[in-house]
Amino acid sequence: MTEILRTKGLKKHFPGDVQALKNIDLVVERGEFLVLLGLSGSGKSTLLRCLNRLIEPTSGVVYFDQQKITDLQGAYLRKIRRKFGMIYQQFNLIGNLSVLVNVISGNLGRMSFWQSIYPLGNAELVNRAKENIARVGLTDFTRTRVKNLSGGQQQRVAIARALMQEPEVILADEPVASLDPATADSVMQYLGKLNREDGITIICSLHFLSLARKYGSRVIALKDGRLMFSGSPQEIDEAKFHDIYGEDAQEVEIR
Amino acid sequence: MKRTSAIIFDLIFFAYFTGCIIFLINQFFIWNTFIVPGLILTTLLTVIFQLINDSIGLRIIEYKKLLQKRLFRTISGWLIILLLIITLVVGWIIVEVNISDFLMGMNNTKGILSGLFSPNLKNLVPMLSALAETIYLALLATVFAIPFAFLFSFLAARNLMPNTFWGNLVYIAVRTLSTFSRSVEAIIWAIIFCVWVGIGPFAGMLALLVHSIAALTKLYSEQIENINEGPVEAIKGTGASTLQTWLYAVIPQIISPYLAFTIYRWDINVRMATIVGFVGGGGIGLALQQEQQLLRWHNVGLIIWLIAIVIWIMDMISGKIRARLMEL
Repeated sequence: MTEILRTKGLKKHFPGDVQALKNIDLVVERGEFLVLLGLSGSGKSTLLRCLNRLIEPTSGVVYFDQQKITDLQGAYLRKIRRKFGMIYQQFNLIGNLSVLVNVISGNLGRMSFWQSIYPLGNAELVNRAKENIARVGLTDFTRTRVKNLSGGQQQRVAIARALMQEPEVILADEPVASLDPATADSVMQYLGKLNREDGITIICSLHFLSLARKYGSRVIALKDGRLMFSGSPQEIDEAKFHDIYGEDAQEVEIR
Repeated sequence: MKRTSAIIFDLIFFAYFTGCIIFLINQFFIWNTFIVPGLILTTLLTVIFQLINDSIGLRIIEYKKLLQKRLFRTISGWLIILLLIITLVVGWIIVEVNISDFLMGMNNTKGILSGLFSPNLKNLVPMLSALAETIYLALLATVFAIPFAFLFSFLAARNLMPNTFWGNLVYIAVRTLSTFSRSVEAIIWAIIFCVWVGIGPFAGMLALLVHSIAALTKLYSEQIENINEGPVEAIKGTGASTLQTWLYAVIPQIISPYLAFTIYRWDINVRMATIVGFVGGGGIGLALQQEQQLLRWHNVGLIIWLIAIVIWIMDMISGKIRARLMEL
């Protein structure tokens, strides 16, 4: 296994003396399905966004493929961001546009401004987008406006958009937290498939241990902005669970 | 510190108070020394009420403590009531309110009223062409304002402008310019442009254009500030440039509210075009002003009917279109 991502002493302070991340040292291997656990507010979202610099870390370094990416600017930064697909709890699609255009928008990092004004004229691009839409099983909805789709379908559009980037890593920020259990599992299956078949490294924050055990190859846990556990999903027993979520927490099974 | 600001407030209040009293005295007696007795009275009242620790200034500065007391229980409360009554009395005198004029002068409007009830339809064709002028000049002012306002709205949106020196500079410059041109009424722009390009519809169009750019910039940029930030983050995350992010994540979210505001603006511009016409901006407003000065009440009646009908129709159509756009 080779290393794909490494953080060293990563810290993030938000205004008002909120320390979202306190000294995170993390190594991610290529091809891992890394699950990120922790309470709301423990710093999971901040950590994910520091990796592709949607949030600027206050101090510390992030290496991608041995390359230091925390001081990149402009076009170099955008080139690195291309390699990180990202999916979000609220899908963050553009509701007024069709599935096709939303998926094409994943390719913006490779297009000039002029090319992005009318991307539908580019047959090769449209075909690639249609292939990715087919991979998430939404071929019948190619021309449908995204806001008319269900939550699970929207998250699949978001996955297709991320695939359009031809990413090496997919960062998933609570991708199933606003979906019902059955849909959540089907979305997780798509992520699992990308991990196994395409070898895409996946870093995914989750709230359900059952999903973490089913899909994760490794689990890390954050508490108050500190890394407090790293190991295989099976290692999380009752005691570890209470360490992560507090004494009063009860594990909920979703099945 | 608190005491100082309370004293400053009191000085302002009592200066106004004594000013009102001296104004009232002057209504009945000729007494030409305002300033010296005014200043003396102001200072005296401030000192007295500060000494008894119950003045309007203290009430404002330490509002929490004094709000617990009822208005009528405190001297400062009574002072506020007295101030309101005096203000109303002074206002009544300054505005020269005269009820008997209002009731007895009704007969003078016979000319206008008869004009309204029997408009001169022989002039329908020239008046309709003046009306067309108004509608078209309002339309052109709106359409030409769109590209400017569209561009400016991005520069005047807090969430799009980076928090750097240049970002803030552009944001503040565009905001200030737009606020300034909005606070100058369209009628004043019309006076300026009548001198600039001469009396006629072109001057009216330019006046409405300036005002529309400013107003639309404000409405548009507020729309941008209200967009959902999620897609912006997502598009940025794909490695898109700033312009691409605006194109894909901002513009699709604002197109239909922009259209709705623009149609609303055209509606407003038609109304304003008649006013602007009054000072030389062309169209039906200019015709109305001319006919009114010649006391041709039957023509005035016709014009009023035409304006009312057009505004009624515009209002209805633009309301329907806007309701439809909001569903999108």
